[in-house]
Amino acid sequence: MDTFRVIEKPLVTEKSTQLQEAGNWVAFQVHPQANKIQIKNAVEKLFSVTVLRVNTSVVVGKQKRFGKNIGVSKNWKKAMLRLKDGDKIEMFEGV
Amino acid sequence: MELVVEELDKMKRKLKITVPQDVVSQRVDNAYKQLNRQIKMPGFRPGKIPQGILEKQVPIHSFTEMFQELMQEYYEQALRESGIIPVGVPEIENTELENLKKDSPFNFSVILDIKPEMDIQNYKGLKFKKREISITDEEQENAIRGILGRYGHLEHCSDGHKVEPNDFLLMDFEGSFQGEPLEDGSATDYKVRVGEKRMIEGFEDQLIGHQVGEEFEVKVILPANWGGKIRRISMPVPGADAEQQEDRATFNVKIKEIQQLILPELTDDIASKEGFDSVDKFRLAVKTDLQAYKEQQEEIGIKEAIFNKLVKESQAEPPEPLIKRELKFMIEGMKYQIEQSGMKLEDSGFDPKKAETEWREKALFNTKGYMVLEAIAGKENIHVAQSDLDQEYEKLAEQTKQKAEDIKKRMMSNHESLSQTNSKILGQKAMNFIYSHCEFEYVKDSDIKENQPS
Repeated sequence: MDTFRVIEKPLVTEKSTQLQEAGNWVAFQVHPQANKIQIKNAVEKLFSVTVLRVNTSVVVGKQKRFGKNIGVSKNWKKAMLRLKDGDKIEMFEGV
Repeated sequence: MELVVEELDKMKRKLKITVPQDVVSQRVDNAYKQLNRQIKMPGFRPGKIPQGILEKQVPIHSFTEMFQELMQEYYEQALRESGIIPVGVPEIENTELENLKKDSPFNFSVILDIKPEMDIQNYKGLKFKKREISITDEEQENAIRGILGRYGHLEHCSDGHKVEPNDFLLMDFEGSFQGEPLEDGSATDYKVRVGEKRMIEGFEDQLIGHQVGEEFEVKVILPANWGGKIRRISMPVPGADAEQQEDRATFNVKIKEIQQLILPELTDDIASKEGFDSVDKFRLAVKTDLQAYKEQQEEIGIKEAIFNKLVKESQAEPPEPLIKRELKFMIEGMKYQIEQSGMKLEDSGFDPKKAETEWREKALFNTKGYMVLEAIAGKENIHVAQSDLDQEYEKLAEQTKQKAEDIKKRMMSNHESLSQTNSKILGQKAMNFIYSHCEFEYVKDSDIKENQPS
């Protein structure tokens, strides 16, 4: 898979900032078919950091009702990466 | 707080003020905390956004309001510490609003005009000639006749009667100017009382001596702004006949009626209608009224002379903002008068911009005078008390037919007009003080024409 298609967008939320402060974790939304190795390589290449661990999870899409129609938003993959102490991704230091 | 006062000019000071770092960062933190609750950001609940992220999103110099408050606060503190009394609006200079930092002291400087210190002497015991007020019998009779006029009635005059001053006329007239009919220059059944000077100058004088039914021409010089238009006036030619024909309008006048006002006898009846017991008391009251009026006029005249003298002798150099304020008030006052008279501002020909340059000298003069009076008030410990203000409100209320309370409220809410009223009252009080310390030399009415300090 193309390195540039693995990472879709960074996640900046209350939880992710807390984790970042606690243990230098960063979170991304990634391609649903990307595996941990691909994510690790992509982040290391794009942001020149060392990744120690990758945790992934699939976030199940929510059901949305529009009147009598029930729709489902897409499933997406979240990746949490632990960076080496001292490494930083500028993007997360305030968006 | 660090404060450096720099003397730029005789009347100008520059205050360099430094706000300490801890105060700055505390204020910034507070501002961010407040902002945090107000904005929404995806991924965060309201009020839970980490300050680091917020600081990146909302740059620090967007808190202009907070910094303005901070500057105002420290500016006032600086004034208190340095004891400078500013005049007009201070000018804030090179604020570092562009490169503000949360954790560094905040510098700004303010340029302001100060009230010059004045040493005024020779305001006590000024010598003035004061007219001795006496009311002649003729003046008294005139005044009484004026009052009696209200009880009089009009009577038609016999046919041979020639027009005299104070006669009431009913007439038609048609005006023409340079051979053409004059705009707004004709009327039928026009009523006029000869000698009231309500018509063009010279018109009424030329009516005297004519009879009922007579048709004749009246030639008068038109005022330059006849009909609200500016007309070219030919310059008088030296040596030539003073009558310049080209500026004269001709009016064809026909007198239709002459009436005379017949005054009744002054009786106890009329005196009682005016609120007096007897004719003698009425006469006395008229006399004292006249006396009081004349004395008041005299006092106003002398006060004006004092004002002029003080201004002439003072070395005061009023700062620019004060002059501007005075100018503004003069122009606003003029506008108000125009509107009160029912005219529209555009039609009146009053041009505020023109007035600004034309009245500048007068404004300068007034400002100087106020400064002198204020300085004297300061020296003599004259202050404006709340009771003085209340009196002024009541006076205003009477003039404008509003409630004193409303006026008070309005004045209180407008800082500028409040301070103007304050200085006005202070000036009056100071003026009264000077007046009461003048030495007067009483002279006969006919001896002096102008009030000159001797």
